[in-house]
Amino acid sequence: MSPASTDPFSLQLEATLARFGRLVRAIGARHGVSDSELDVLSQEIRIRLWRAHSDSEEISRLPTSYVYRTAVSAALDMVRKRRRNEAREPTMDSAPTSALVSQLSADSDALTSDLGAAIARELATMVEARRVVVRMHLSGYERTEIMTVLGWSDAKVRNLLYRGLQDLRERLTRAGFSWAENS
Amino acid sequence: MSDEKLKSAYNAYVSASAPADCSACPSPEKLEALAAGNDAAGDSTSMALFDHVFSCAYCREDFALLRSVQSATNSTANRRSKLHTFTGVAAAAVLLLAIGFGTNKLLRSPDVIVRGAPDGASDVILISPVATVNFADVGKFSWQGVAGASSYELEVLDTNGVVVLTRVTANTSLPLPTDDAARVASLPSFDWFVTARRADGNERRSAITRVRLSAKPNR
Repeated sequence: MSPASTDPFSLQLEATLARFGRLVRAIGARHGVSDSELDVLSQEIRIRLWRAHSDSEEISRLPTSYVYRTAVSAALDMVRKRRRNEAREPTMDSAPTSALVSQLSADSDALTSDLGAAIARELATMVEARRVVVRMHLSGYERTEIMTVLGWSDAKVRNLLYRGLQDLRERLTRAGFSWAENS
Repeated sequence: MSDEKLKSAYNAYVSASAPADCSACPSPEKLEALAAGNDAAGDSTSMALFDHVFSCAYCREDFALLRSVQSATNSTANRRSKLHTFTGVAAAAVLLLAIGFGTNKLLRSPDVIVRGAPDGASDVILISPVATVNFADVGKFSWQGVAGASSYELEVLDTNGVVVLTRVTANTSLPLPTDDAARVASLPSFDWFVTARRADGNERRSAITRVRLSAKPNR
């Protein structure tokens, strides 16, 4: 943690970072981005700003948009670093509902594993547009965000998502998967 | 069957079936463009990329980080935009005042260095090739220099975002050896960009530019 400071430069920087951090955490939590990842990102942004702007007057004039641009480039570099890490393994946090999985019994684990494989298999044979929307939904993306990322209208996304999920459920049922409605 | 059950099973499956490495994954720059919404799903290539991203444990994880930062940035920008609508007159007055004082620094951030220009605003300007290129010229890359740059890294990607080749040079042009040029020429279209590196470790990057081969080789 950075040492507490009362100079205007640090206060302003920390306030901006805190505001930004809250937003990123709120959004990132929906997509399984871990707190530790975001802590690393915040620290990286802080270091970049300090390095590029040693003068407190200079940094006090930095527009907030500049801090955000720095955040985007820092995130991109984090991804680059992860790609270079050959021993990388997916974090369980990448699965938004992984905690639920870990609490299931061994039988349920096996069932979940079978179901996951069946979902992947059925998705692979779906029309691409429908498949992508359903994958995003299952990965924790809300409809509005799917619209933004894909650049599609609400009507198009809604239609593809509802039909896609219905299609998936029917296929899974035909494949022998069935649960009570409240399961 | 509940939605949560489907999500839980799907996410567990994706995490468990992560690829051995990221060699077949889109580049970080491509992921960034997707996360920023700059590469909306308008064509089959983009759709294939999105399909990969949300079925690959690594890409999904990387995309989630980039998207979270982009979303936070965009939502703040939107709020600022709305605020500016209501305070348009005051902003104009401040602008005039700033110009009056000649305080250019009020209008622009200082000469700052950003690693990997995130929003398409780039400092390395690509000269050639852009848009289309003849087969004979496919291996000739050139760009404008950046003050203080000690080296430039050229990266060529296929249209799925997979890196085809990476070369480093101290010059602002790079004629590819025949073998490398042939690899690039085997693609109907390719993307390329250049990263300028300074001695202090800072970087500036060009926009990613798509180039189509306009003529087949004569045999």
